[in-house]
Amino acid sequence: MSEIDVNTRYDKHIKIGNIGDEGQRIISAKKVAVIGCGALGTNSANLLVRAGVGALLVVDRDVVDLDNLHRQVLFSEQDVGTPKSQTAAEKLKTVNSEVDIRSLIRDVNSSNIAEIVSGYDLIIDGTDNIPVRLLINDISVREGIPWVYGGVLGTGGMVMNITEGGPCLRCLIPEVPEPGDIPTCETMGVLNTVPAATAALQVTEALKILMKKDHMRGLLQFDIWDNRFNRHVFNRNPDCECCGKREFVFLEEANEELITVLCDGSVQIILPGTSEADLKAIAGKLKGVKNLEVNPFRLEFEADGKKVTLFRDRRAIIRGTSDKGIARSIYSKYLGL
Amino acid sequence: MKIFLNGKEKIISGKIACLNDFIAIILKDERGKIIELNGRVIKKEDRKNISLKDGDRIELIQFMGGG
Repeated sequence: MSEIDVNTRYDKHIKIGNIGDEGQRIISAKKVAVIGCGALGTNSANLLVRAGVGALLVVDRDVVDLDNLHRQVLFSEQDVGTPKSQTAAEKLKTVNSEVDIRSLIRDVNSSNIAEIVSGYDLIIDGTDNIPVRLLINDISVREGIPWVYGGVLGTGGMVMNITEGGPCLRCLIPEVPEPGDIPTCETMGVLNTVPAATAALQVTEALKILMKKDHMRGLLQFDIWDNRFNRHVFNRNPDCECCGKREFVFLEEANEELITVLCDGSVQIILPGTSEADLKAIAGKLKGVKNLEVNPFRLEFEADGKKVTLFRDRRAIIRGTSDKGIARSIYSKYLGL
Repeated sequence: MKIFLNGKEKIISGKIACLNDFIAIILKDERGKIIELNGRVIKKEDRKNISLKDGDRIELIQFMGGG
C-alpha cells in the first residue's frame, strides 16, 4: 500500500463519539512503551498499533517458546527461538506502516529503565513479575508518565491505571511480596482469553488517558469464566513510600549483579555494565557442552544437565534448576564471567 | 456484628479483637492477598490495631502477577 488514507483506516474509531476526529489526531501523536512482550504485551501492542498511536516501543528480554503460542498473538510456529520484541515489531510493521515501531531486546532494570521510557507518553505493563512492575511504578511516579498495570492468573485478570493524583501500585501492595508468594501462570496456568481481555481493558484505558478523558479509578478485577467483574475503588495512601514520600527505592537499587528465579522456575543472571557480549567468540571457546547453537541474538548450549541461554547484553537464563547458587556456578564455569 | 466480605453480608458472632484475628480465621494462606477495609489498603503491621465495627466492608483481593 503506497498511500494510506488515514480517514479510511481509522473510520470506525472516528465514528464513535468517544474518539472522533480530534481523539484520533491526539492518539496519532502519542508514544507508548510496552514493557514485556508476552501475552499482555503482544495483545496490547497489537491493539495500540491498529489504533494508530504515533510511536510504539516493545521491550522484552526473552525468546519465543512453543508454549507461548496459545496466548501470545503476534507469534507463529516459525518464530519459536526468535527474540520476542524484535519478532513482534516485525509483525506490527506489516499491520500499520504509519506507526514508528521500535524494539529492544533488553532486560529492564534499575540501570536502564529511565533511558528506555524517556520521551514516552504512557507505559503499558506487559511484564510477568512484581520487581519490574515496582520499577515501572517508581519511574512512572518520579517522571509523571502514566502507566496501566495488567495482571493475569488462571481465569482471572486485573487492570489498574496509575496516573497523577491517584493511588500507585505501592498503595495497593505496600508490602513487597516475597518470591513465591504470588501464584504464577507457570503453576496455575492461564486461560488464553484472559490476557486478551485484560490487554483490551488496558488499551482502552490507555486511549482514554492519552486523550485526557476520564479514566477508570481503582482496580478492576474479573473472572472471565464465572462472569464476575468487580471494581475496587481505594484511596491513595498519603504515607505511601513511592507516591507519598517520593522515595524510589526500586530505582535506587544499586546496579549490581542480579540473580532472580523467573516464573517458570529457571534462573536469570544479569551482570552489571552495558557492554555487549561477542556470542560467536564465546561459543568458539566453549568446551564440554552439548547442543551448542549460536545466532546474532543468543548463544545456547546444554551443560551439567542444564540448558543455558546467553544474550548479547550478557544476561543468561539457566533452565533446569531453580537454585541460584547452581545457576551462578554454571555461569562462572562455562561463561567465565 | 454485621460486616461485608467481598460484598457479601456476614454475621460475626463471638469475640474478634482486631482485623488481624479476623483475617487469621478466614484465610488459611494470606500470601499475595491484598486486604482492604472501607476503601483503604491495610498493611499487615497495622491490622492488630484496627477493631472491626458494624457495617465494615472488607475486600480480599488476590494479586495477579502473570502477564
